[in-house]
Amino acid sequence: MGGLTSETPPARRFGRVVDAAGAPVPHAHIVIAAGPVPMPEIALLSDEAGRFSVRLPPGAFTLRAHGPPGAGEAEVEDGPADREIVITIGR
Amino acid sequence: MIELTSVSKPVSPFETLAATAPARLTAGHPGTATSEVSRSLRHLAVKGKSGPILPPFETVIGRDERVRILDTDLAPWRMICALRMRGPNGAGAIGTGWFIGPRTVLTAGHCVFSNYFFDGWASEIEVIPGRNGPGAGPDAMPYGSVASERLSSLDRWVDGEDPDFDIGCIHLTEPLGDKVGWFAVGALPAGRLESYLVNISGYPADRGAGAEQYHARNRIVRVSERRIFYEADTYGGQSGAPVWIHETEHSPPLAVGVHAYGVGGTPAQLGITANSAPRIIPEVLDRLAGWVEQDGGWPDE
Repeated sequence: MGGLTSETPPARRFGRVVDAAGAPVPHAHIVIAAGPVPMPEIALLSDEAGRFSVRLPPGAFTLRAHGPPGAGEAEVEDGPADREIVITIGR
Repeated sequence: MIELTSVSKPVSPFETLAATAPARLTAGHPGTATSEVSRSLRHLAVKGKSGPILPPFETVIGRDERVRILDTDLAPWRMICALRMRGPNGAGAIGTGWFIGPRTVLTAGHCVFSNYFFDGWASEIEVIPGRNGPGAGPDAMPYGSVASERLSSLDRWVDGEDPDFDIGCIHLTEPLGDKVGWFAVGALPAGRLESYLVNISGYPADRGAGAEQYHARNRIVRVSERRIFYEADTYGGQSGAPVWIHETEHSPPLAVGVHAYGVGGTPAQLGITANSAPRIIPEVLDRLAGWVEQDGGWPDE
């Protein structure tokens, strides 16, 4: 069974975690909550500007973020690498 | 039999990649820190085998039954470490690891090497045994914090990121395992593993922001050639946590897998809802023993 496996990893996608007012949430934890392939149970960390990045294989994924304002999700489909993923938490 | 080779993060042209010392079971050690018996271990850890397997009841499967461990300064919880990884691309992440020797911490392969998260090998991993809350004081970090000296994984993981071999190793300079102890590790036949009750404890992101240890328990529902599937609740951040059993009521913990995947990692054809770990198979145990050997070995060897 294959996991997050491909001959050439897909392009890196960039994202941001923001609160309900649109302000960046630093040090938020981001997990891959659902997807079409085995999902490692690692949690990514957003930087001081709320930014993170990850390579995702083809398919639809749900990314979930946790931070002081609460939790939130974003659905991520195949798309251009420059399409930013925005996860709003604490709505 | 399959051939597995240890692959280490290159640090110098003189580094040896060979692994030695074949074994089926390694001996654990409770650590030289206090020998007080953990109430959490007595009351929360499950031991022995389950009754008949009933129909399966998601990463958190049904009701979330994870319980926070507060006495993380005691064994075996202090053998379990919060990990803070950083990749060469600046990416940060959290995970879980556990001591298997004085200077050797086992974790998931994707915590040390991932094309998807780090563009390759992690740059550095901070290892915090028994972490118990936010901050850096002695209550939150009863055994302090150490940085990785070197990282290793299996060729099957580094070459193809095969989930069946998602196992990694953090080598330390300081023998912190002497103080906190280390898990016994066993390569048990599949038939002997089935229906055992399992324990998993690690540092999830959704509770305590990766700074609090949570334990879950349930049963093994399926054992495949290279994976163990179980209904114990887990969450992102617990990658690399030990999956252990107690063969009898009074047996010490025996680690049999490295937690790595939530329910999405379970093949649909199995028809079960379960989280999973690569199994400690004999070939993997040989590599683990090799990693401990590289770090100076176990005492009295």
